[in-house]
Amino acid sequence: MSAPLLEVRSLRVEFDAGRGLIRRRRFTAVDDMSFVLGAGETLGVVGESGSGKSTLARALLRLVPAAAGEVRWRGENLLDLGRRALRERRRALQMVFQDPLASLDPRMTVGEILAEPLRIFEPRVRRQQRRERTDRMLRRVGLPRWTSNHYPHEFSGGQCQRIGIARAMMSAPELLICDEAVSSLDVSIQGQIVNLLTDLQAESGMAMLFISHNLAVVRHISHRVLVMYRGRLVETAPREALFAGPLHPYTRALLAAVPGAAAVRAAAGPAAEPAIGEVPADAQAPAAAQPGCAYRPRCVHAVQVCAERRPLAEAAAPGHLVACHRHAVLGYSATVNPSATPEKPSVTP
Amino acid sequence: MLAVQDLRVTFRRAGAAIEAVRQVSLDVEAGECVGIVGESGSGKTQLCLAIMGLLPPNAVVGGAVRFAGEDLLSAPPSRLSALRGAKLAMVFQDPQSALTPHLKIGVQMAEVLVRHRGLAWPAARAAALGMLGRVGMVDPARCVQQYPHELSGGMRQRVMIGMSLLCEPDLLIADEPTTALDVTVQAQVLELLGRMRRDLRMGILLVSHDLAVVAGLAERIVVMYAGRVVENARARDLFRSPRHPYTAALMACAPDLAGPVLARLPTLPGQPPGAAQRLDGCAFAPRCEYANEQCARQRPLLSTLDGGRQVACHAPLPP
Repeated sequence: MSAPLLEVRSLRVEFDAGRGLIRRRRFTAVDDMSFVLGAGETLGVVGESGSGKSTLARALLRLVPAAAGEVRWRGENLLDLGRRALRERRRALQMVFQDPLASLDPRMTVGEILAEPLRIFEPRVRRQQRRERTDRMLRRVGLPRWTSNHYPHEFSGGQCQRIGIARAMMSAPELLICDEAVSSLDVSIQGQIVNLLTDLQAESGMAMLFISHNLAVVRHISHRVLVMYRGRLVETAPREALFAGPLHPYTRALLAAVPGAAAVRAAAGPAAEPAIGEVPADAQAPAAAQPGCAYRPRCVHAVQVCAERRPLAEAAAPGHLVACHRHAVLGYSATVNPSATPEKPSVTP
Repeated sequence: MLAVQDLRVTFRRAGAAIEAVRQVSLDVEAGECVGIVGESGSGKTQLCLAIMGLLPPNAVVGGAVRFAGEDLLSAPPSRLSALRGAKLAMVFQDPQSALTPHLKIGVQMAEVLVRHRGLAWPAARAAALGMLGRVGMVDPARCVQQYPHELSGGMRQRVMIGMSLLCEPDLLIADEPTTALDVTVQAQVLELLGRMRRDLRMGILLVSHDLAVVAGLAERIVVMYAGRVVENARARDLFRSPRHPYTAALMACAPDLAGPVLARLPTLPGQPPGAAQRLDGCAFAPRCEYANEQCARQRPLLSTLDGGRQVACHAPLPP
């Protein structure tokens, strides 16, 4: 097996959480995160707001500083690079953001926005050629050529997201990080953008890190899925294994809470009850203060050991890692059964 | 209980008339939950604001809104303000901006009862505390002492819902109440709405861009497109067999957790028309795979099919 494109090892990101009485308080947004991503592969990252998904993405590109760990890109630790070298590497690592309009400079025309990566990464390309390449890219993402002379605010959310994707693709990235890239779009537009991303991936062979809270979209786009909770990895597995046989109680709760197929079927039948996850009311305790499992306060299966020791990620099946003391005892099956739909966990009173 | 008839909302801006809501009619019975589904720009929110009398001054409203027999559109502002909060309540998508940032939760909630029910402050505070428990706050006594920014999004939305229910309204309008929330919290808030509706026998107008969100709660679903109702049917009929091509497309577009994994997601080509656009034919025709020549020329009227469902389409899908 060749070396992975991206290898993240024990990455930690901390933020200042304001000043305490005696010393500064630190908040750990990403904790002990490790994963690998191969060329052409899509890794879906899911978790609730505040679970550290976006911070993880930003730390990979060094848009926020990492406190510890390594981000190895083709074997080279990005965290060790100087500014100039980092800038050079960023050509291969591009990002698409959640708010398409806010991530585009309102004073630049679409053509200028698309030409900017070329001006930075390939300063020798002539004006005429730049124009040809931006036009080609606009056509590729499904926008007419006249778009070039207009400003971002003249376009709808879906069109702005196409512009954002076009800008990211201008430098022919090897990794595209999509941070909630379709979350603010209407359902009918969402599919168009997801399909555009998968098409671009098929053509270019780039890898994708697809961050989303929408599990249904992640299921269709990802090869592998990583579930985060309070900055930590709780479970990662190939797509089929994760959706057919989730092992971590949090993953199971997340899947059960989606108002998707189950609710629609319920509405079509006589009973019309919404799906209720096994997650009790919002737990308030900050993660860093607890020695044990971060999910313990919300977990109905928690026992003494969960409060004492933090569970480490261990392999339950090849490629299927889960960080839970109880997963073996709970007896959820890790066998891959692609035809099975995720059964709903029992709701404990 | 609530009867909306031929409601029109037009905004005048720079000489142009922008039609946000075009001839919408719907009813909500006591204890009934009606879901309104549509994409951004379909006029859902403007419809809610028109019912509540909360539209900005440049909006022109036509048609009729009757609430328990009373005409809300011609009611004086003082009467509307007395109804709002007491009989008619609304929950917004963003609880952060709907709560007063510098007042403690307990004070904000108690104020509702002091104002609408004439309760003394101590009694109002006690009632607020009780309500926070009913909406599932873990530690109500602590919550009343907190400011909105100290709460998470899910807790703020619980507070908003609790606050809107304090006077036991007859109708709750919930505009995308769970859109800003995580899925697990969303499930809890929807469950809470269902429970409160049973307990208080109140009607709910639940607005969402997501069919699946209203699916669990609503008996009747109204689908809106470009400011108009395109389909109005009992929830179970709608999910069993959508008759309007737009409803069917919405259902097909939503990616699913069950079923086979798809290499390509089903999509709806194009995008909805702008509110300023003049439409002669069916607004959905440019995106509709079944559109014929009549659809481009003549706007389909909302007509009643079998089983009391309404569809605005020249060629409704077979049942």
